[in-house]
Amino acid sequence: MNGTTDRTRQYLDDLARMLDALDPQERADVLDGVRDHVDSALGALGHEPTAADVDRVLAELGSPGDVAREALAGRAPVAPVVAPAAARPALAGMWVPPTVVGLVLLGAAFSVFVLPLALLLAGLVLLWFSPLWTPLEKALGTILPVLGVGAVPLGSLLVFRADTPSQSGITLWGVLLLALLVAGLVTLVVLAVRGGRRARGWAA
Amino acid sequence: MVPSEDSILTNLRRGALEYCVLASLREGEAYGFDIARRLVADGVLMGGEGTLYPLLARLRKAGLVSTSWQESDAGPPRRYYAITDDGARALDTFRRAWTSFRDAVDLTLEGPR
Repeated sequence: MNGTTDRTRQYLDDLARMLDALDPQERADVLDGVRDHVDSALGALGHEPTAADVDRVLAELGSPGDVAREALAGRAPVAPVVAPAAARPALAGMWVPPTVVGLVLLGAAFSVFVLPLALLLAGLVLLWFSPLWTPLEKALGTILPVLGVGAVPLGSLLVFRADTPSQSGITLWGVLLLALLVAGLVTLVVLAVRGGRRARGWAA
Repeated sequence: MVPSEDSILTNLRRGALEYCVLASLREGEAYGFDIARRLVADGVLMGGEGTLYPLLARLRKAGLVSTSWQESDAGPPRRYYAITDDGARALDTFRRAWTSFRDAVDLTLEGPR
C-alpha cells in the first residue's frame, strides 16, 4: 500500500505545485476533489489496490499538467500581463536630441571656422546613428539646418559685401536666406521634439 | 495547418462543460467520482476525469454548486456536490442560449438546401 500512496502523493504534489498561482480556496478545492476521487476509485475496487490499479486511476485522471491547465484556463487574470521592458538601444538616451540639435545649430551657424565644422559633423554623425529619428527626418535634419543656418552667415557676407547690388537682388537673396533659415530652425525644433518624445518612450 | 479533432473539441468544451456538470447534478447531489464517470463515458465531453475538479471548484466559487461531506460505506467520508438555486437558473439560461446556438451552427453547417 505504501508504494500506491507514494504515487498518489507524488501526483498531488505535482498538481499542487502547478496550481501555485490559483486562488488558495480554489486550489484547495481542486486538490481535495482529486484526492477524494482517487480514494473513491480505489475504494470501489473491492480489494487492496495494487500499483497497477493506482497507475490506472491516475492515468484516467489525466496528467497533473492537464488538470492544472484546465484550472488556470478559467482563472481571471490577476493583473494585466505587462510585456518586459525592451532594453534601450544605443544612442537613444534623453541626452541625444538636445546634443544633436545643439551641435548642428552651433556647427552650422559658424561653419566658416574649422572647429564648428567638426561640431557640425559630430552632430550629424550622432543624428544618423541614433535610432530616435526616421530616415526622412535624418535627411531633412541634415540638409535644411546646414543650408539654412549655415548659409546665413556666408550668404549675408556675400550679399552685403557685394558692391551696390541691385535692390531687387538684395531682396530676393534676403527672402531666400530668411526662408532657408526658418526652415532650418523649424527642422531642428522638430528633431528636438520628436527625438525627445521617442527617447522618453524608452525611459521607465 | 488543419486543427485536429482533439483541439477543436478542447475549444468547444470551454464554456459548455461547466453547464454539463451542472446538468449532471440536476437529479440530485453526487460525489466527484460518479460525476466524472458519467461525463467521460462518451469520451467527447471530457478528456480526463481530473479536469472535472477545476470545473467544480470554479462552480463552487461562483455559488452555482455547494458541497457537503457525507459518510460512505466504503472508506472515508466523501465530498458531495449539489446544484444551488443560482446554479439551476444558470443552467436554464445556458439551455436557452445553447439551443439557439446549436440550431444556428447546424443550419450553417448544413448549408442552403
